[in-house]
Amino acid sequence: MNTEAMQIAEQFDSAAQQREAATFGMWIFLATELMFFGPLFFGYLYGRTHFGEAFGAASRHTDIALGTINTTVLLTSSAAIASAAAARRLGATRLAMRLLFVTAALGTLFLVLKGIEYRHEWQEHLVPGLRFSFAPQYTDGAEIFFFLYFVLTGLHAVHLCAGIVLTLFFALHLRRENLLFANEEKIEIAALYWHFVDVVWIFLYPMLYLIERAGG
Amino acid sequence: MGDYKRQLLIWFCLMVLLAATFSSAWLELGFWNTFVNFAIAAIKAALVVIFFMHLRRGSRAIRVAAFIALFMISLLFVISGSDYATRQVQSAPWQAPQQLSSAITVQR
Repeated sequence: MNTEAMQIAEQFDSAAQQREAATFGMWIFLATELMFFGPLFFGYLYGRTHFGEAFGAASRHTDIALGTINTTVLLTSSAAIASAAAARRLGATRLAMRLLFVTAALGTLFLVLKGIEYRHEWQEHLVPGLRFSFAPQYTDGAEIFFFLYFVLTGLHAVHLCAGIVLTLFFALHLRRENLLFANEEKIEIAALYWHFVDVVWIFLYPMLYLIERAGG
Repeated sequence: MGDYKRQLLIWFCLMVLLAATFSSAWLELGFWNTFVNFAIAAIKAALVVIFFMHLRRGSRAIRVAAFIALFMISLLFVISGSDYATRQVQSAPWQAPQQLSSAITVQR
């Protein structure tokens, strides 16, 4: 009872109200994040409808094997952090800590694989503006595709870095048994952010790797 | 323990959908490739949002926030999209001829 009371900030009447406000705040933040990514998605839609063939040809040059492995990694990490939040809610703090470490490790693995992909693209002259070269009839459209590819995946990677820091932060607090700080409410909210980053990738995967993989 | 089981089930569904979208990408279906890929992406996103992000048991305020976000982005896509879809791209008259020809290459 006492520990429960200490968790409630003075502007709230109850733990339930505080939890609701915190969750609502995170959802509002994620809504603004969607607006942040939105113009880039729209830029892609514009390119796909105006330079369709070039976008199709360019998308066949992304690394589908690494892209698919990375999708598996990220979807699994989402399941891991969802289970971590469930474990924390059920009071299994050791399990929650381990699952948070697993989540952070999967996030890091994603970034490493992404880095290997970037290196391949550099070697294949697919970085716009820097010795970019592509089939001459598609050069202009393909350069726009790869510009969007690097901005979208780069922005996504920045968000993932923030997620990894957040996840490690709570995992370390749980390891020190700082249970009052690393409580169910905060871990649940960190998980919301992680899932959002996952959802962005769910759409990036078909956009960047799958369109017209079979054709041409 | 029901909680963990549910996460595992959702994870399994996500993996099946990923396998489906990956395999369908190798079939030559023309426009339907894009349709299938994005339909599956939407289902995967819905699974994550409804079950992992607990929109299923979210309060009314949270559902409204999620809906408004989706609504606003759709609105921006429709408004900007209707502009670009109905606009003729015209090369500016002051461009040098070689720039003009490259602009035409981009367009077609």
